[in-house]
Amino acid sequence: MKYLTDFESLENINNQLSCIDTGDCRIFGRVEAYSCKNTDDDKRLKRHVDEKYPAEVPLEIGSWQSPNSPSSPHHGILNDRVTRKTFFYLLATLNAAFPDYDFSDLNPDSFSKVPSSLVANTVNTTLLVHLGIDSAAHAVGAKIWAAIDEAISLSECEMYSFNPDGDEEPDAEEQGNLWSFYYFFTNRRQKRIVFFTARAVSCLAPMQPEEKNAIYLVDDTDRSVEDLRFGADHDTGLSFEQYTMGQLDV
Amino acid sequence: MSKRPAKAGLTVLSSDEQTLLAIVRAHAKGADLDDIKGQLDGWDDNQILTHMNALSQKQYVDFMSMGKSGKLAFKARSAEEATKTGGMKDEERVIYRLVKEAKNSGIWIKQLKDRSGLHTQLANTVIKNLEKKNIIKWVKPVKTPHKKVYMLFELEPSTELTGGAWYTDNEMDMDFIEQLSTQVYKYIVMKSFPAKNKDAIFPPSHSAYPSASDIHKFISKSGLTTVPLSVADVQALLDRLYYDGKVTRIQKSGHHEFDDSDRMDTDDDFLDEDGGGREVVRDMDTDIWMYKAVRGSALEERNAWTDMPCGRCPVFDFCSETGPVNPSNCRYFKDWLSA
Repeated sequence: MKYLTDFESLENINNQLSCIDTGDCRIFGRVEAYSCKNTDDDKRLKRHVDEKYPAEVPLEIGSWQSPNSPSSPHHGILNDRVTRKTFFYLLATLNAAFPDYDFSDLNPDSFSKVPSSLVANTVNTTLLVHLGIDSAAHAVGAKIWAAIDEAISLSECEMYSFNPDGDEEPDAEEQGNLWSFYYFFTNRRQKRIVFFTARAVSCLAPMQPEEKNAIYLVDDTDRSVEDLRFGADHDTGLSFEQYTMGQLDV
Repeated sequence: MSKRPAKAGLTVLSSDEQTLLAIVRAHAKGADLDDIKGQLDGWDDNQILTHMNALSQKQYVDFMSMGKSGKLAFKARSAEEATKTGGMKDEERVIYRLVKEAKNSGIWIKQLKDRSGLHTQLANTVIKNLEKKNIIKWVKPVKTPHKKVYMLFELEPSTELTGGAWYTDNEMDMDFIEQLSTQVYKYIVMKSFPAKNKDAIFPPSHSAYPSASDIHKFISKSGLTTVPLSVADVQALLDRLYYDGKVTRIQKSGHHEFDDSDRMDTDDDFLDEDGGGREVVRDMDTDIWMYKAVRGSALEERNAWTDMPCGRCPVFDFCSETGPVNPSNCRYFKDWLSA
């Protein structure tokens, strides 16, 4: 998968989302556009997927509804299916987005097809809520969706979600994420996938890989401040005292 | 001491360097400065260190710290190591060294890149190159199947990475475990009760219950599986049966152990027929347990409250020391105690 750098609006969004410190949590988000061009690693992955699922039948993926919810009639019957090809593209995108990991043996049921309403709702209640409730924050939210739309024409897209087990989440092995989402917007016509992900860790968590050389964005002003964690140890995050007693000297 | 420099691998060594190398090679566990000075007269510290540095540059020796005080010492590298790394660029050597240090456990690619101090792109290229040359390889640990872990090409991943006997292709083989457990249990049942009479049990002095090594032998001989199992693996199965309450374990009686330590290999004909696992007891620590299957009744839930008549007594609330119904003349107790 080839990472596309031609979308300036996406780059701007990424700068804003990459590290956000809200005081009680730190959020890392990114939106990345990939074109479905196969690299050598991708070819190897494709061969692996083809060998593992030899029949040309569509693969069953997970359901985004919980099995006991009143609206899903019978667990299993209405599960969505993806073609082997789509599954391969989702895996390839994950591999490209997390270069230190290899997801080639992931099960299809770690993914689910999600309606756009769910995606919008989740993003609003997790990420955007931290950007504030006022109109400025709304504007940022609108900017994000506009930028994604520019890259991939949301109306034509199918949306998928990656749902890892808690201990399988990339970069979250030592401390779990408070919340996270991993969404894929796939546009078959354009042969493009946009990967939109964000996760939040507690302010008490140790330094995360995204934070090396990070420039922090405070959520209530739009000044970028370098290393906002007032006096905290770089590697270990805020100590409990610092968090509960508040920041005594900035 | 020949004056003509000899060729070793890809680089040429001066005669002084050769001499030094020969001495370091003679000390297989490493030689410190004093060892070397002792063998060479007339060389001062500077000379030794200069030549040593040259040898290290050419990849023939490693610097290391030896002993409790961490003194500086030198160790020769094997000839093939020297040629392997001799041709490498510096950044390749950095990666190679980090992967080598990780030995069988391997190192996660992220840590590898961070520790190498190389720029991400460069690190990626180097790692790819080394992979192509079959110097390092990538394995999938069972515990974290999505992490890319690298180790030296020729090494076997440790059992922590592969999961050992119970994992096939990175997945826990539950069927295999269940089948094997059932077979082991059947074997123990067979050995736990006398063959002739279904309801009888052995007397307390009976000690032919199988031990872990007996069961291990049984499995190996039976050809139940092609997967090689160690006694520790069998012990794991037995522990599971034990914690599930299907078998209980009996410690082999003390005097048997003494006897064994006295007569190791020679006096086999002294041992009784039903010596249980005695003759194979070599390691005192691991083989003191014998396993016996548990009969049905022990598995039933028994509760002290309901065993006692009071737990099921219809007039419990009415009963008291001073009343017509009291513990001393309780009918239910009489029945229970006389049964």
